[in-house]
Parts: sequence; structure tokens; C-alpha cells
Amino acid sequence: MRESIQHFINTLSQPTISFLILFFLFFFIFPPNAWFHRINRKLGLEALWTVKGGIAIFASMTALLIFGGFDANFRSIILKPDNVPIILLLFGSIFFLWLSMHQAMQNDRRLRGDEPPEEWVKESDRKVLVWPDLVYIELIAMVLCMVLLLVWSIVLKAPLEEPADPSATPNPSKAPWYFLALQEMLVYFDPWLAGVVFPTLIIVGLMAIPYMDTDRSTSGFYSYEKRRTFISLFLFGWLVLWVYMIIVGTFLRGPGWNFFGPFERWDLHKVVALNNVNVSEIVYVKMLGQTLPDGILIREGPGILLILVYFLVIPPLLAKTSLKGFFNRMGSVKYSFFIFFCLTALSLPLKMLSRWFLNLKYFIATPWFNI
Amino acid sequence: MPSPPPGEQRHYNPITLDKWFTISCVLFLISLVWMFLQDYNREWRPLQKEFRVMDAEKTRAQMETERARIESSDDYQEARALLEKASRDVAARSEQLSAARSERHSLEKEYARAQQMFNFKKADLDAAKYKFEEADSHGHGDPVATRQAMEALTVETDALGIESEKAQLALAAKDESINAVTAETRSAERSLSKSTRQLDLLDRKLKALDPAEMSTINQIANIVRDMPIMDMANPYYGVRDKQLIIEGITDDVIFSRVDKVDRCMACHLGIAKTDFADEAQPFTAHPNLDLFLSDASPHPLKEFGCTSCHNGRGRGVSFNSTAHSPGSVEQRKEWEDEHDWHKLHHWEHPMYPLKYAEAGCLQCHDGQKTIPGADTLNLGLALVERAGCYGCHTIEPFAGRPKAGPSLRRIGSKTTQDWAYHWINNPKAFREHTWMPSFFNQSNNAQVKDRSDQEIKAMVAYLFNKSEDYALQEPPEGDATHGEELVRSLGCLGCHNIDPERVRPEIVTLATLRSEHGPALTGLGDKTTAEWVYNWVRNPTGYHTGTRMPDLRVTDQEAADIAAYLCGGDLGQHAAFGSTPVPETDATKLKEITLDYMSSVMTLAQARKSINAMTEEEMVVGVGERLIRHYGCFGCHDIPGFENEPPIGTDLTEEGSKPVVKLDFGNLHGEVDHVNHAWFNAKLQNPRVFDKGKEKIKGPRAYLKMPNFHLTQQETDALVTVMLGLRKNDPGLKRHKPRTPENLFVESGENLVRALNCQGCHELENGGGDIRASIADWYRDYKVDASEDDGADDEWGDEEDDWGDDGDGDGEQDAEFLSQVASFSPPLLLGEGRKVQPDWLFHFLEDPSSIRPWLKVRMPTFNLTDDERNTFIKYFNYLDGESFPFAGSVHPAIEGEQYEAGKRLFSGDVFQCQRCHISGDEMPAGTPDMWAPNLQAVASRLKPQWVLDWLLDPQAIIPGTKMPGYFPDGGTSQPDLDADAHRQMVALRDYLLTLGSDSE
Repeated sequence: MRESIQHFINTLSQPTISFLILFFLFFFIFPPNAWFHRINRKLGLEALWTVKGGIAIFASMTALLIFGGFDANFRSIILKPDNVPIILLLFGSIFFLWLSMHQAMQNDRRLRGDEPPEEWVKESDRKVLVWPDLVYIELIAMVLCMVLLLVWSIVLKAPLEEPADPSATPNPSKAPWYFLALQEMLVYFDPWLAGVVFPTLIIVGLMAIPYMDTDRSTSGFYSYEKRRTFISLFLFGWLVLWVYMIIVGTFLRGPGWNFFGPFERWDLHKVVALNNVNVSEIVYVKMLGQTLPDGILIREGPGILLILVYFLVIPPLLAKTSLKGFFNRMGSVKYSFFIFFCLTALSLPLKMLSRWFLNLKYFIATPWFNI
Repeated sequence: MPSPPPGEQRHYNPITLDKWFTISCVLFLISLVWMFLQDYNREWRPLQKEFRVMDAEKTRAQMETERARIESSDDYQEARALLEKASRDVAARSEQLSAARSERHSLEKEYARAQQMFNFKKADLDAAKYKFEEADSHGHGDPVATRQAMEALTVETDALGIESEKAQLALAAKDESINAVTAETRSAERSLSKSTRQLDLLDRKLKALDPAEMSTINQIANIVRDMPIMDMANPYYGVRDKQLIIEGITDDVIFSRVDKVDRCMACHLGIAKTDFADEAQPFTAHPNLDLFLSDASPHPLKEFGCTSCHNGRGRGVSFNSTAHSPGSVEQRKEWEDEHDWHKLHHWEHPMYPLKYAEAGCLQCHDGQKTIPGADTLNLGLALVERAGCYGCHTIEPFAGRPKAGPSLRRIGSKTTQDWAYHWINNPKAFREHTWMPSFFNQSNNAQVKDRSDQEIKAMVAYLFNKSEDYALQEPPEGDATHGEELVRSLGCLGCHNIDPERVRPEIVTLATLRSEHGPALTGLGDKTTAEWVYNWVRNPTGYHTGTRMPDLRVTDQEAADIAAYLCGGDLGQHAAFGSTPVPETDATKLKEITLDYMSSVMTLAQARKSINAMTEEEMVVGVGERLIRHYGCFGCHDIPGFENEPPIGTDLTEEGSKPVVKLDFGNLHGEVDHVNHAWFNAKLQNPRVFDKGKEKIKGPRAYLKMPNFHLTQQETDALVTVMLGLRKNDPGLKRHKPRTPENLFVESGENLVRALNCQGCHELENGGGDIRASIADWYRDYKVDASEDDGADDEWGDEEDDWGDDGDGDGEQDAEFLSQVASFSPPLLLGEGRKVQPDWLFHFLEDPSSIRPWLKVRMPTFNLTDDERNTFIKYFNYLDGESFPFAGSVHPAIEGEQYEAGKRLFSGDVFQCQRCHISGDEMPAGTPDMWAPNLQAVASRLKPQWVLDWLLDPQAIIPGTKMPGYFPDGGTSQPDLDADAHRQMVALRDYLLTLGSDSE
């Protein structure tokens, strides 16, 4: 019984499966527009953000951890001193997600009944004296933090390993847990893109949010319905492209950076069929049955074309069709930035999917730079 | 959160906040205390406490012994008596003394007062001087007034100074008068404390160690300083003062090197103390303090530390963090129970398990092949040479050694294809103790026996097809009986053995390996023909120019006799071997193998095409060549067509540093411990073991192919020790035996000695002369029997077979028998460098001349190059610390008083040298077993200084020699040359020097 559950979880957690499920389920849980929202309501997914729903989420997460704890490999991974913060991160981010969604749902309900949001009603009650109320609880919090740090450092000793040797790196060599999503991107993109361009774009994109989401009608209180597009898109980036990737990097990447199910032994010698090709090879060799042309521009032509279409043709096309209203509201400059960030963010899941299903290595492969 | 009480502007209830604050503070306190306890609670602390108690007990016991010793010593008693007497004298004059002392007391007060007044006044004077100087030179003040003040103060100060000096003198005079009374007591006390010095030291040590011996204040301090936090000031327990920082030996921390820090002594506190030899771990002393750790040893603790040799993590201070390694499954179990032992993953160099501890020696002694005291390692190094590991695996220290096996260049003349098939198929069936390893019928290829048979046949076919011609000469009729005598007396048994029943010895030693230097001479009639053996023995280099088999200068008839003996009878035949028929050549199987090998270098289609164009013979020979390359036969054998082939095996020069993840444990993850020595052990015990369960996954061509040497556990352990010692050249760990030219010459000489197996016959500085046992057998069977026939005394008729171990036999007879055997054995070469002249040795090695004509054993003619001969000469000379290559010579007079004296001493009237010594063609009178070397060779052979040393004390140079000492303790019984022993020895030596052919 336990083994078959473990086997089921192993299968389910394969990125091809888990990522697809997450990718498609996501927009039903966090609907970006009215259509998705209707289905969301029909399915009763809003119940997730009630107190009962919250208890159910945490109970199932805890149950999974406890179930996994019976497996020696899994236990050693989750209890490894440097992985403990990741477990805390998981619980923490889900808790705060639940809390904000919970409050947003309450306000949405009130707004639908033409009541003001809760934050406005209670405004006068929420005044607190700095001394003693605030300072005192801060002091208590500080003391408890010290207790936590002391106990943590005694119980979970700092993992001191051998002197670092650049010629004999550990296998797998993992980045600190908060960078594991970046490391995961390196699997799919040229290091220059994954290591320099994307991190920069992430920061710039985060800074750009207030300039694109300028609707002030929901300032000062939690609400989902009024700004679902932006919340949904942001949470897609945060939950799917960042937290999920950290989970993958921590728990599902083993020696040789191969995928391992949570209950699979990390076999140093695991062999996986990984034979990847570039777009040029797919087009010329597979589809046209030719050898690769010599001229680099001709050879990479199909890939260049795809990229150009992706960034230059799709945005105006969308502006004319499904995002017409959106385009009109935002204006062309804001729209251009918005769609550029969205497409760039979306390129990661697209690249992952094409790697898994088409064995695609690069769209454009040159000796100097790859996309 | 409860709502605030009415009337108060508080958001939180203050009582609740206070409660929370109290709770968090208590939690904080608890965790702080927990932290300090964690810090205090170290593994070494209880051990150090235990050790302190033990040390105190041992010190107390030592004190008892010391006290008993002192009390029985005369010095002590004398000093005590003296002290008592002196004290009595002082007591008699006690009144006088106490009066003097009280006078002294008042004088002392007087002096102190005067001195103080002088000091105050002098300070005033200094200040006045300054004021005057300021006024006079810089105009700040009145120069006249200040000058007057200064002068007045000078007068006063001088007066006070004189007063003070007077008081001081009076005090000194009083002291003197008191000292005169007590002088005797004090000198007695001094001599007493001199004799109790050791005891006082022990007493002081005990007072520091044992709380019971301490003063109350120290007892309290002892307790306080052992409390958590306060313990940083504790002088007894801690790590800092017990750690060793070893200068010059560094740990590699990748980006830099840091001095090695060994904290092993935080627990192994008695490691360098002789009186802890019998204690249990961790307090026991090092088992070999003469060689290690003690200050007088070659490896003092302060210079070498612990982990430089043993490996492990020296900075660790707990059982696990130091990377201890269990030596066996039982020990591992025990440690797991006792110390919660687990492998320290993050340390590349865990401690060597005890049985492999000698691996550490090789890091610094890496050029040497015999390291004094490292028996396991020495055995391992000798095994590498004997088994020929270096043939397939590059191992730097063994580079350039000749191939381990015989040449197969002319195999066609030596044996038959059928015999060769049976031999390769299963060498052990022919000789149980052969060093030819088994390639086939192993755990991974036994199930492809059909294929193996065809592979062997193909390799044999290649060897015989390429075999070069060797013209065999027809031998004369041989006499097997005489042949046996020759084999047993000429010295063949220094390298070969002829026991058909022989199995591999249970305990392998360097000596047993030397006795297996050449192949056993059993079953030769099966393997080859008498004709071939005749030609081989007559001229080994005629068959194979590079052979290590030397020429024994046998005559044609002798060679024929030897061949007849070795090839006939029980010794020469091997009934059971080769009785099964050789399988037929299987064309389909052969084609399959050929295709398998050819498809690895060309496309399948090409391979098919070229196979179809081949005749069967071409195919057999062709695939045979590929197979020989595949199995690496040329690693040990000289095979035509494989002269410049690189070795096929893994380079083992740094095998000990290889990370364990690079070793393929195959499917044996659970069965073989995940450490390198366990892997080496499993691999050597069964080289194919890691193919287990993979036979079906990979094709036969990919099977592991290291052959099976059928090593015993003892041999495996020795080889694993060597492999662990073959480490990356780590500059931080080198504390080399100095690489002086002298040491290097000695090393290269030792290599040559081992390659030629000199120690099979001769005893050298690290053992040898193993042939004596077989000489004893021969002597018993031939000489004693012969004398029996002559009706001589039956002195050794009842000798046990085991000549040396005859414990309950007649000691005197034994001794005499041994001395007879010794006189028929090859000479000892101890001190050869001091003894013989380089020129002589050079020519002797080229063409051995007879020094001891009575010997049956022959010094063989080795096929040495000039370089090798010079190596021998340098080896012997540097080994004995001789100046080399030039040495002064002696030009003896051939007339005069000294010459005459020498002649007289030499003559039959006095020392009767010629009674035993041969001189030219003149043989002495007695039986050959009493004969001694030819004296006419002295001038050209021996070093003049050595002759003097030899005459003075022969037993000191060769213990047990028959040469009498004519000058006992440097004295003489003869009157010549003023009865001066030294002058007589010089005269005798100089006379001997004139005996050579050209001086008269």
C-alpha cells in the first residue's frame, strides 16, 4: 500500500506531469478573467480560502510530510539542516497566500453586497499605542526569536563539509535554496540568459508593476475580483515559476541534475535518455530530410523567425484580438512593456515544455550565444 | 486577543503581555543554559577526567618506587645524617643565633629608614637640577637662586647616601656572622634536595593532579574552574594545550595550505607515555615508541604528529569527527554500539584501518621497497613485483622493471599448442602455486566457456604462428642421478623449487617470495622437452636475450644431466594435467568473436566483408592478436608484435587518492563497504566480482578482465596496504627520507638486488641467504652419506629433516652442522662495500672467478650491463658509508723488519694461515669444508683497511665465521715488532698484499 502510494507520488511528481497539471490548473484556481472565474465558482474552488479550506490545505501538506517521513531517503532530505528553511518557506508562503486570499474573498463578498471592505469599517479600532503596546510585543517577539535561533542552532548543527575543491565539486552541486529557481532555469537556457538577463528582467518587472497596474479603486484593502488579472499573473510568476522551481530544485533534482521522485533512491549512476536537438535540426534534418546548411543565418533562420514572431507579431495580434479592451485601457507604451514581460516570463514554461516533448535544446544556436 | 479593560487606552491586556514576557524570558533562559551545557558537554571531557585520575595513581605509584629507591640509596642517607648533625649543632647555639637575628632585625630597620630618606632627597635634587638647567639655559627663572638650592641639596643627598651605605654594610656583616653558623645546614639541605629531585618533581606533579593533595584554596579553584563557562580557564581539561601544530607538514585546504593541527591527544592522552603501554584505548601508548613519537625516535611526535601517517581529521575532537575507520565488520559493529560511529562523508582521507596502517609510510618512503619495520607494506611491495602488477598498471615506483613472466617469442620450440591451451585455461591445474593468473573459468566468464575455449585457442594460434625459430642442439646422453645432485648443489634452488607436492605457503614472507623467484621446476617433461631444457640451461640468453635466468657456466654434459633429471621421473611428469581433450576449433564461434572485435574498429558491414575474405587460419591468428591486446598478455610476457604496446590497466600511481565515487561497486553496494580499501580488497580477492549480475547486460568483450591471482587474505591485505599508500604527490605531507645521491644509489641497488634475487643465495643487510635450507638438505644427503660410506663418524645421520628447528637435538652437533652448512653456502655480503675493491667487484660480476673453490654452489654469470655493475658497486659502497669511487692504496715493502715479521706470522710456525686458506693453486691440507678463501687474491680483491679490521676481530664482521681471532681484544701473543699488535697486523696485511702474482 505504502509502496504503491509512493510510486504514485513519484510518477505524479515527474516535472512533465506535475508541471502540466500545475500550469493548467493554476488559472482555474487563480482565474485571470471572468470566464475562468465563472468556472472557478462553479467548481467551488473558492472554498479553498475559507477557514475549513485552509485547514484542509495544511492538513494535507502535513500529512504528506509525515507520510514521506517514513521513507529514509525522503526523511534525510527534508531533515537535512540546509533544507529545513525550505520546508518553513513552503508552509510560510502557503499560509500567507491563504491569509490574503481569505481576506480578499471576504471583501469581495462584501463588495458584491455593496458593503465597504472590512479594512475601512474597522479603521478606527486599529489604532495602537507605540508604548507600551507595540514596543512590548516587539520585545517579546525578539526574545522568542532568540530562543528559536538558539534552539535551532543546537538541534540542527551547521553542516560543515570538506574544504571546497573546484576540481571535485559535489554531485549534485546545488545553489542556496533561494536561488534554486535560477539554477533550474540554467537547464533550459543559455547561462547568459538564465544567469544575467532573466534575473535583471525579474527585478525590473517587479519594479514596473505599479506603473502598469494603476487602478486605485482597490487601494488599501484586499480584493481578488477587482484586480484578478494582475494578481493571477503575479501569482503565476511567484508560485509556478519560482516556488515550484525551488521545490523541484530541492527535492526532485539529484546526482547529475537528474529528476528523481521524492521516494526514489538518488542513484549516482542513473542513466536518462537525454538527446536534445536545436530547431535547425528539427526543421532541416527531421522535417525536410536534409543536412544542415552551412550558412549560419540560413541554418538558424527558422529559429530566428520563431523568436521574431513571438516577440514582434504576437503582441500586435493580441492587441487587435483578445486583448483589445486591455490594450485600449493601457495605451500602447504600457501595453508593450506589459506584454514583453509576460511573454518573457511565459518563455520559461514554453521552453520547458518544448524540451520535454520535442527534445528541443535551443531555438537559435550559435557559437557565441544561444536562445 | 482579549479586549482592553474598560477605561484604559490599551490595545492588549497588560497582564497577558506580562505573562507572555515571563514565558519567553524563561524559555530564553532555558535555551541559554542548554547552549552552555552543550558547549561544556564534550566527548573528551570525561576521558580527560578519567585520565587525570589514572595519571595521579601512576604518579603516586612512581613516587612510592622513587621514595623506596631514594631511601635505600647511600647519597640520601648520607645527606640526611649530615643534615641532622648540622641541625643539632645549630640547635646547640640557638641562643647566640636568636640574639644575632634580633640584632639583624634592628639593623635592617635602620637601613630601610636611611635608604628611604636618601631616595626622597635624591628626588628633590633631581628636580632642583632641572630647575637650574631651565633657568640657566633657557632663561626661565633665577639662575643664581636655583643654583644655590641645587648645591645645598647635593651636600644633603651625599650625606644621606653615606649614612645609607653604612647601614647596608652593617647589615651585611651581621648576615655573614649568621651564615657562618648555619652554613653546614644549608649545604646539607642542598645535597638532600639534589638526591630527592625526582621525587620532588613527582610530588609537584601529583599536587597539581590530585585534588586530595591540594590546599583548600586550590581545591575550591579546582571545582570552580571545572564549571561550565568557567572552564575556559581550566588548566587540566581542554584541547588547546593538548593539540600539536606541526610545522612544515600542511593540510591541503584547496586554495591554500595550512599547518597540520592534530588534536588526537585530547583523548589519546597516554599515547607517548611508556607507562601507559598496557592501558586500554584511548589511553594506551603507541605500540612502537622506539620507532615513533618518542624524542629519540626517527619520527618524534612534535615533528610528525598523528594524522601525517595515520590519516584522519586531526582537527576533530570527537570520535566521529576525526574519521576513525573500523578494521573489520565486528569492530564496526562495536563502534556503532559504543560510539554511535558513522562514516564521516565529508573527509577525503579517513584514518587507515589498523591493519593497513603501514600505508602511511609510503608517503615519505616512496622510493624504498623495503622499509624497516613495515612488514606488511614490504610484503605488499614484493608481491607487486612478484605478481607483475606493474605489467598492466602503470605504477611509478615500479617503472622500468623487467616483465614478470617468461618470453613467448620462441614458444614454438618450447612447448605444444595443446599444452599452452591447457595452461592458459587453468594454470593452477599444472602448478598449484604458479604466479600465472587465471583469466578464464572465472565468476563472470565461466558461463561463456564455449567462447573462452575458442579465445584461448586463437591466442595460442597467434603465439605459435609468430613464434621465431630457435635452433635446438642435440644433447648428449644425460644422467638423471647426477643431474639431481647438480640441481641441488649448483644453487638452482635459490630461485626455483623442485617439490612436486608444494602448495602456496600459508604465511607468505619475503623469503617465501624469493624462493618463488623463478618458476617451480616440476612437470617440465610435460611442458617441454629435455632437449629444450638442455639448450636453455647451457645458454639462457641464447633463448631470450633479456632473461633474468643467469648462466651457471655448466658444461654440456652437466646441462644434459640436469635436463634428464628435470624432465624425467615423478618430477618431470604431471599425469593429471592436460588429460581432457582440447576442444575443436568452432568456425561459427570464431567468426562471432572476430566480428565482435572487428566491429569495434570498423563498421559492421566492413567487418563482415573482411571476415568473409579471410581463411580460417588468418581469422584465428588475427583474432588471437586482438585477444592478446585485449587481455594484455604482453604486460608480463615478451610477445612478437607487442613490443611497444602501452599497458592496458588503470594507472595505480595515485590510486590511494582516488575518490571512492570513482570506484564502480557494481551491484555490490550493500555487500561491499563503501570505502576504497573494501573495494580494493574485494577486487583483489576476486577481480571479476563487480561484474556480478551484469553478465547479461554487457557482452563478453566488456567483461572485467583483470585475471585472478588467487591471493590469500594475507597477501590481499598487504597489497591493499600498498594501494592505499600510493597517494597523490602531496608536497605538504613530505618529510622524505633525504633524497641524497647516496640514498638514491642504495635504492637503485636494492631494486637490482631484488630483480636478480641476490638474496635468494646471499644474506644482505635486510635478510636473505634463503638457499641455506636446501644446501643443508643437499649436505645431509650427499656429503654426510658419502662420509658414512667412507666409514667416517656418523655425526649427522640422525638429523631431523628440518635442519634449523631441531630444538631438542644435540646443541653442539647442531652448531657444528650449521657451521658446515655455512661453509658450503654462498658467502654473506654484509659489509661487502667495506670489504672489496670496486675494480675487483666490477670484474667479478662480469666474470666470476673462484674465491672458494670448494663450494659447489656457483656464482652465476648474470647478463649485466656496465651500468648495472656500477650500480652494484655504488650500492655496496654507499650502503657501508665508504668513500667512493677513489680510495688510497697501500704499497707494501718486500724487505725489511716488517716484511720479515709478516712472513713469520703468516708461516706454518705461527698463525698457520695456509692450513685453511688456499693460496694460488696450493690447496690446504684439511678437508674442503675447512678451507678458506684464496689469499693470493687479497691484493686485488680486498680493501687494505678491511683486512686489518678482519684480522682484529673476525667475529665482529661475520658472526660465526671459522676464522680465528689472533689478536683477542687488540692484544697479541707474539713478540715480533715489539709485541705491538697493530704493527703485527699491518705487517701481516702487507705480507698478504705481496702474495699476488706480480709482486714476486
